Order: sequence, then C-alpha cells, then structure tokens
Amino acid sequence: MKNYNKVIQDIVRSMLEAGLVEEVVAFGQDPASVDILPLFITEPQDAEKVVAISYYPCSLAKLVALYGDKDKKTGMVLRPCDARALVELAKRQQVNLENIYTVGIECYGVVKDRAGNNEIYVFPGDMEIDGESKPLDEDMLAPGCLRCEYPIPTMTDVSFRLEPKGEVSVTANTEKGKEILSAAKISSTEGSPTDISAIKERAARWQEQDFGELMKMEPGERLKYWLSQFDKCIKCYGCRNSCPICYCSDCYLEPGRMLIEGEEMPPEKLFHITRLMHVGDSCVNCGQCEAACPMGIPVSKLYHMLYKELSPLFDYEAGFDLDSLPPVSSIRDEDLLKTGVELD
Amino acid sequence: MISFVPTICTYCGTGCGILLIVKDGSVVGARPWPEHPINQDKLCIKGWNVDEFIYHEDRLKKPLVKEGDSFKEVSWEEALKLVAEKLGEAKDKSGPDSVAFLASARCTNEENYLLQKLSRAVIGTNNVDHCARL
Repeated sequence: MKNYNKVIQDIVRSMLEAGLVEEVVAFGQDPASVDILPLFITEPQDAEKVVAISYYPCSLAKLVALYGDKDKKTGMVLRPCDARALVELAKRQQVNLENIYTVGIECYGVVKDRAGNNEIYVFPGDMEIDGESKPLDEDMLAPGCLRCEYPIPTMTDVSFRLEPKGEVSVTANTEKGKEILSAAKISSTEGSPTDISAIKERAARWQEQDFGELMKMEPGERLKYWLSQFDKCIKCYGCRNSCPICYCSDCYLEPGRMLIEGEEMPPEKLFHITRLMHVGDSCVNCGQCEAACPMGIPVSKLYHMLYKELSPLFDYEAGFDLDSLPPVSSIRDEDLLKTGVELD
Repeated sequence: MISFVPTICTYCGTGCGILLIVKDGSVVGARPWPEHPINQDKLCIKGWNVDEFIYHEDRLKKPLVKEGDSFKEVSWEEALKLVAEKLGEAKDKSGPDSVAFLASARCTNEENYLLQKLSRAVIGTNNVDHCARL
C-alpha cells in the first residue's frame, strides 16, 4: 500500500538532492499529525512526508502564485486540474513555468472529506480505503470531480499513475520530465495508456445531470434560480480566495476600487456575476470555490457550465496550451458578431 | 521558507481551524484548516483575513493609561494596580452593583469563567455580560 507514496517520495527527494529544484510544493502529512496540509519542502529528508492520497484540499498553483518565488527552481506535485490552473496562471504572468518542474498524478477524482482520516485512493472503477478494495462510491467524490473529463495530466513534466494493488507507473512527458526521472534513477514506464473511457462516461453522465436540470429551465426561471442562490451569499470572499484563476492582487471586488464604495459590501448579485465574467472563460473545474463556500452555493457548477458553453464557441481549452490565450483577452469584434452580439 | 501552521481563529468563540501562512518568520496570510472538524475547510471573511491585525500599526501591544488627552505606556504591574484601586474605590463608595464586567467572545471559555468569578466572588455583583450581546 505504501508503494503509492514511496515512488513519489523518491522523485521528490531526488529532485532536491540533485539540485534540480530548491523547493518542492506538495501535499503531505507531518508525522505528528494525521491532517493533510500543503508543504513547501526544502530538505530532502522531508520528502517522506509527501502523500498521494486522493484528497486535495486546495490549489497548490494558487499558493505558489501568491507566496512562491518566481526566480526559485520549484518542483510541484499536482492533480490535473491544478496543473491546468498552473498553465492558466502562467498565461497571466503569475508564475514562471521555466522554473517549475511538475509531477502530475493521474486522478480519477478526490474525496470531499476523509472521514476518520482514512487513507483513500480512488481508481476508475473502485477505491481503496485503508488497504481494503471497495467498489467506487460516487457520493464520496467532490461534485466537480464527477464532471471531470481530464484525468491524465498531459501538461506536466512527469505523469504518475497509481494502479490498484500498489502498482505505480511513471512517464516523462517533456525534456524536464526526463531530467526528473534521470535524477530519480527511474525509467519511464512504457505501457498502455490508461483507459479513460469510464471517466469520460461518468463526466458526460454527471454533466448531463448537473447542467441538464438547469438547461431545462426557461431563461427567466434559470436566472431566478441563480439569483436565489446568490441571496445566500455572506461575502466571505472564500470562492475568490480559493480560485486559482482569480489572481488579481488588487481585486475589483474589494471596496474602494470604483465598483464598491469604501467600507461597503458588494451586492450579492454583482459579486458573483463579476467573478463569473472574470474567470468563466478559463474555469478548470477544480471545485475549490464550491468547497470553500460556507453557504453551499453550487458555484463550481455555474462556472463549469459557462466554461462548457464558451469553450466550443471560442475553440478554447483552458489549461493546456500556453500560447492559446483566454477568450476575454483575445476576442475580436468578428468573433462577437459570429455569436449574434450586436456591436455599436 | 514557507510553512502552514495550524491554529485556531481568534475572532470569535466558534473556534474555526485556520492555517497561518508563515514566510521567513512572518505571517503573510491565513486559510481554512482543511480537516478541522468545526469549520471543515470553510471560513468567514474575518477568518480569511485574520492575519491582517498581527502587524497592524493600530495594534495595542502595551497597556496604556489615559493622562489628560493622551495615553501613556505603563507596565502591566502599574496598569493592574490602577484598575484594582479604581474598582475597589467604586465598590467602597457606591456598592458592588455600581460596577459591571464585560467579557469577550474572543477569549477562551476558561478566561470568561474567571472574569465572572472575579465579578461575583471578589467584587460581589452579578453585572456580567459579554460583547456578543452588545
């Protein structure tokens, strides 16, 4: 069972020992605690704290953008949604991908919480809880994960696959990935790629269910539904603070920035609609906004749904190609005309 | 060097778990403690910004005694002596019920217990309330 963590710990340790990176950002467990916390590791011996458990409580890309050092060689252990968020942040000049070495974990979903601090690994059709194999319980997964169709981190330097019974395979996707694996003295596994048809089927089914019930409504009814959801908002700004795409250090939603008077609170409708306009085109469906919401507003469903509408319209897939810019910053008048928008 | 230090939010009595983000010895931010049973990875706006008051210039770090229109920094010993004197004076002159004690939701249960103990057993009044009712 521990083999899942061992290979990833070996990679992290050798990246630090070989001097490939000065720091590795990953989730880990301190021996003194069962809690899983983000770690910025600088000492090779601390690599043994890193875990690959299917639980991912915040965006590491966001933490690196906020608190990391752009000039420092940094290693990261990421889930595919977070790796996509990192690419989006790089497009927005918030991280320097040249200095970042990424190790991606193939991910078939993470659990909403770990009742009893279980050691949980999720696989396409089943899950392993404290070493015991069980059929997959979809209720335990985060709602965004059920709609996710990107289980393989193709955009990371090394991708890492966990299979039931402790098997691990590792693939280098880039030159930097080869450097990582040669430092760790691990050879790239040549094998068949993961069969993701079950994940694609699940994503289609849940997107149909989650978005379908909203799309069935008349436009007026749908607006009323969302406005009644926004009425619950207590303005904790948790969705904004957790969102890896929300990067502005001087946020338009802060008081005293033209939109909202000093010491005033933003009206609930405006708050969410502003955020939707800013991040909707590049949502990577990481689900952190919804996980942070104390009022249970299904915000990630809204952003993901809008993203799925905009993505084919602008032929834009967030989080893959560094050179493809988000529609909001690259849109031309003729693109708008195509969608039936009338220009003055 | 960045570390995430689990602790409890000091803003109210709910007791949400937070992670203080510590960079090179200074607190630079706060976020929810993901697996804390009370708040379960969620926070209110005060919790998200709980780090802001730590280095705020308006933060009081030493006891101050008012002298005329301004305040003077004094030692804890001096400040407590003055409070004890004034409370004793009020009690002797106008009776125990001329004094009231206001506890705080930002203190622990134990500290609030001690405050009502001081009020009832030392001064002799039931005039005890707390900031959450103001």
